[in-house]
Amino acid sequence: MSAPSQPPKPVLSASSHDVRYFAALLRGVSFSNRATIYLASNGFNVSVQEGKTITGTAFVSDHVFDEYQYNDEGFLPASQDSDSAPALGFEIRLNTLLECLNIFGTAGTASLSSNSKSKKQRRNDHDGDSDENNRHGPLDKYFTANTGGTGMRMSYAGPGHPLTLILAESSSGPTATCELTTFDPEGPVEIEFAQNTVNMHIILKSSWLRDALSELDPSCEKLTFVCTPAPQGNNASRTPLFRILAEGMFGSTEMDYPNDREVLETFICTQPVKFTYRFSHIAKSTRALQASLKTSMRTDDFGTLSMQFMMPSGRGRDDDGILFVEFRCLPLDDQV
Amino acid sequence: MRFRACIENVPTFCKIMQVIERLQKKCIIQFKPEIMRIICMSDANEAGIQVWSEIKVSTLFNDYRIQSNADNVISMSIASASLLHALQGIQNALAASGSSTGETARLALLSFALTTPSRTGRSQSLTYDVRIEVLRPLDMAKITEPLCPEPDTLILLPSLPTLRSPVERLRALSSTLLLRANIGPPTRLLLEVAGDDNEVRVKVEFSVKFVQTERQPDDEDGEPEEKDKEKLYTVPIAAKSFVKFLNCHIVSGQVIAAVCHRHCLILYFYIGSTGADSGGVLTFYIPSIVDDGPI
Repeated sequence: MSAPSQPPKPVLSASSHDVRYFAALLRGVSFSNRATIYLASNGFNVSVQEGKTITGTAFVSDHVFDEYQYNDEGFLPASQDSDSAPALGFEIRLNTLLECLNIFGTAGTASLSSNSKSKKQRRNDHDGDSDENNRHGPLDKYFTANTGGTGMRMSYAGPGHPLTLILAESSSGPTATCELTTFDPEGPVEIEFAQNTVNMHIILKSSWLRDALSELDPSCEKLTFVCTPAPQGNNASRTPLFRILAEGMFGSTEMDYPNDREVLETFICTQPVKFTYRFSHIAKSTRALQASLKTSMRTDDFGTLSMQFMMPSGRGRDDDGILFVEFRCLPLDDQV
Repeated sequence: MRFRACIENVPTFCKIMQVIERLQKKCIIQFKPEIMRIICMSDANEAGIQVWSEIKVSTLFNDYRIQSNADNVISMSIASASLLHALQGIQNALAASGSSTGETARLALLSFALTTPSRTGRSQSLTYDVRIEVLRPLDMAKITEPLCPEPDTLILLPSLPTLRSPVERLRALSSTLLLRANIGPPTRLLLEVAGDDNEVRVKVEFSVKFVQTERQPDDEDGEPEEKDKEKLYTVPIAAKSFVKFLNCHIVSGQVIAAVCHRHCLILYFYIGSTGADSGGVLTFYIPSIVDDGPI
């Protein structure tokens, strides 16, 4: 890493001894190949969008790295009129970046889930993982077993320069140097979420939502979230608090979540809410959902859905909640 | 023409045939009094790999008997899948032997007889017959091993399982893989790709051992000084071919790679270990892709 053309201090340099958690964050939003990365001093955002109706953003906190240095001196253009957007960014091919991170086969989903599973056991956390065993081929464990994580050093010298990754499994083993071409960003696609008009907010263990969504037939077209406020007083209402309604060519499915703190950790709903989304859009969050620990779902008055997934950080309980992935999705028009 | 042998090491034979079968539908097998050769010519597979292997008879067989008019050599063309199928059937047998009947019935066969224990404890006999096409010495004379220049560098490859994962990823990024190695020390092996849309350049570096050749002791004084020890000798190859070669990881062994700059890559897969006590060698010739890149 001593190319003479590079300025003495790169915009970004970061290192990590295990790229699995970083890769899991990126994999969560990898439903489209073009990702825009905006850098900041405490981490960076990786945003992906499709059709301007769904956006996925991975908030890569500097906590995911052992070392993180950001320096934008002299790189920001002087005529920076918009003060809200993070200034320095580039576009990158996300799938290529993921292939590079997994070059030694140790940043895959299999290794992360087995690793997080052992951590979960330590926390005595009964997170229904039964389907994770079936998601991977029977041979996967032989290929990923007994390998430590891949260490990484990442740097970005500035606009016009590639994103450079140096990866190594161990000090004596092979090293991989990847130079990913960066592109000028097209500007962020933001889906507005009106924070002050949130009419529904649910926090639940990801496995509860994951199991529900995995039950649904992939040919489903529409997915409706129905929320009714919790009954007041002692008169127990028959109406469920949270219902997922899936409609497709071959019929419809209804799934109800009971009014139970074990299931719905947080449930805030001020008025009956019903919004419909395209199932294929919600399904784009599956990878993030599968890797995540907890899910937060919110809708605003316009029906915009915000789903936040809390990702494992690999550093024990204290740091959980720092890493998350957010999806925002617009509702189908006819239901608004 | 008669051939009869007891197949002693069925698993190894089976694994070798698995590698060959993934490479090509038909292969040529030549039985000689001391060695068995398996040959895959490049014309029948798209990647242009050739395999020339010499396996010691003692590695796979015992009680080996061969007789023919052509210097006791029998050459045949055989469907790789059929032979593999027969060998897989043999794998859990008590004893197995292969034999080739003569051409008297105008139908040449390689037949495998085996005995397996039945459920009642008695042994039962089974026979697999594999159709073969016997090749005349005249046909064999037309098949020649590819001619290659003296390799620029010879290295001992890292173990194949460690190579597999990076090569699979690199193949996903580009169809052309650049394999480069120097003489050293330190000897380095580089696997490089430039993404198909030029969106990424990836370089994986391994530190490897240089292999001293003992073939020409006379030239050894002069030659090392002529060659640039730091220069990376490069062969661009189809990533697909290298992946096919890496299928060999199921057979345990060591690999020496010979790099002929911009010409070809020769991979010597020694079954078991290198040197005199090796069970045989599978030689893979992977031709260089002709491109206009910088030399």
